[in-house]
Amino acid sequence: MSESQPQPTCPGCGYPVLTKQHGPKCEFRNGNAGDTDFENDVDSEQELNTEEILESLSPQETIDSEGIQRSVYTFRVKEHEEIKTLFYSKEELPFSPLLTEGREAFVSGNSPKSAVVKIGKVFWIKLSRNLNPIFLQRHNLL
Amino acid sequence: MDKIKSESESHISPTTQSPVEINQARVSGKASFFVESNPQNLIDLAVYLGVEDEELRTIRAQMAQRTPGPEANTFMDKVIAAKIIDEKGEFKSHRTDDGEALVILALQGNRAAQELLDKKVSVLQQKDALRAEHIVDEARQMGKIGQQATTAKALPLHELVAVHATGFRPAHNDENIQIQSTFDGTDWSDPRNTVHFALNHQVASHMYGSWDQQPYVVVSPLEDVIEQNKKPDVLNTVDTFFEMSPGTPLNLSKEKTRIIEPDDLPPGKLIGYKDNHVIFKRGKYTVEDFHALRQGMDESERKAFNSDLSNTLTDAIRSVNYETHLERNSELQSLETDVIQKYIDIRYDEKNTQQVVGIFDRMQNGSIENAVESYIHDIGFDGRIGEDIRQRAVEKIYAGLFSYIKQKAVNRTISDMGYKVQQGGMWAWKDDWTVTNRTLQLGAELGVRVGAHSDFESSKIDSAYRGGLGRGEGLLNQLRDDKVDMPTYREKTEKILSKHLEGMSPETRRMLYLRGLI
Repeated sequence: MSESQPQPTCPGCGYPVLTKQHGPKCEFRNGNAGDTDFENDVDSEQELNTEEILESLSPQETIDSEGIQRSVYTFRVKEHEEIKTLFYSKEELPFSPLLTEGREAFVSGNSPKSAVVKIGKVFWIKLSRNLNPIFLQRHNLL
Repeated sequence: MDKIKSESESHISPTTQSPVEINQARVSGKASFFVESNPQNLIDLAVYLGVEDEELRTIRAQMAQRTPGPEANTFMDKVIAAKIIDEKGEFKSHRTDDGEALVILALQGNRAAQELLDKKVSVLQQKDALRAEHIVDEARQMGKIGQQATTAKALPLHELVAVHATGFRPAHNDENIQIQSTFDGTDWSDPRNTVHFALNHQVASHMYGSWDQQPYVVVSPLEDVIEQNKKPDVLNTVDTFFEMSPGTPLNLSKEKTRIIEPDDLPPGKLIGYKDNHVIFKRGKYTVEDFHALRQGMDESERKAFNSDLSNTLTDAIRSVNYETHLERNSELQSLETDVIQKYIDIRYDEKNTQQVVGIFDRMQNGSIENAVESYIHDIGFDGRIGEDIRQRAVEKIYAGLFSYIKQKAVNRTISDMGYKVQQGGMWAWKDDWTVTNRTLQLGAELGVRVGAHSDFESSKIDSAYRGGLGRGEGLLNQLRDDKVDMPTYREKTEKILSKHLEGMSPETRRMLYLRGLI
């Protein structure tokens, strides 16, 4: 999309229409009155495809330090606010320069405790091996 | 590695990242999240992204307490469906991380994501329904085979009592005794989600494991176990098992269940009752105990027990040999052979007028230690059998007595509850094919498969990840010990999944998801 052709946005939250997303407090996110074309964009006959749907999250492929291909998704919180997110399975916490270089990186996980910890490569080595994992402090975000 | 440790120690002053700090990082546009895929963390992320949903709080609380209810199970099934069902409605052949992204997007209210997620869930539910139908069909077909093979009728369900041996005293609430799976008992670490029962007998040792030394035994009518919980996943007279969903124990009604456990009892008393439980003797056995044991035996049982205890000597030689020598020690192998030959001579030389008195008979006059000493002396192996082997033999005899007395207590309990005690076997009571055919018929009536645990997915998954005797080293142990790198680990988990996903129960899938294996 070129700069001379701005994306149409939702009048309630400003999210680009193409992303098919609304902001958390947007009055149109549950199909309320006034949300006309935006909410009617899912054709039940249309072939649904994970990849297409996830395009709104601008997935980026990255190779982690152990040579495994990972996907990084960008979730929008509000307009101009976003977080890059990488999902991993237990035992498989990866280190990816894409996510840690020049950014604050946080780990939410390392079962059984849900911890949010600041990450660095050294931490990752310990965490991924489950050797005396470092839990800083639990943060229940609810 | 030491350098890394010292670096890490200097860096990791446990500075807590407050939500404010996280927020600052996010607002600066430079926040990255690594999110471990489990319900709590996915919900945390969703909430962080602004999703407001009261049910998410319920699910998170259930997961945090390790007691997932229907809401949490539905949530897990959604994530699993998103992860394992591809666009064509088939099981995915490789692992990806896009399932979680789809779930979060759906939680944020994205209609297309919600619709696709619903489709995937529906596909998985259809597959589960087909699997359930297939199981019933298979049970019916096998039931017909069982019917044709014998004139005997199906085993009557009301004549069966479920017997479960365990190393831990079973937990309970006001109404039920609760049996946890190993997965729950290990804080969702060891991926084994089955609870096993022998029917009408205490499970015997077999090549894959020994339950003889498990101190607690729980006995409950099978009909009642099914009514309180669900049908077993596999019916077998020597190994009936239930696959359990994470955080869901198997409930046995207190009213109809008996617990058998070790406790202190006076000399000469081997079995008793305490607080409505059956107790059996533990600790150091006395001459009075040996006499009490002897009185309860007929002649053939006495001879068999003597023989069993004498065999502990060869077992002791063998185990010392394996444990103390990197390679098998030829001297000890030779000793083992000679001792076995001596037994054969003693047992089959009918003209032997100086029959050697067995260890059990010797115990009637003193201690186990003295009985072993005098027996070794009399069979002529005094100079060849060292202290380590003697000590090992004594330990094995103690363990054998514990097991024997426990079995008596279990059998008495089964009888007291009005059921017939049966003899175990490798694949059925007494390895009897008629019993197998009658079990197949009962399986058809219940719509339950009949077979050996080792033939089913839950066992194969258990073997692949946890390993065990005769099953090689488990993949999780290999990862823990750095014997396998992450790409190989991922590749192997994909292979295991693609092989077993189709036959897997929803309960087992949830376990594997929480263990990071789906």
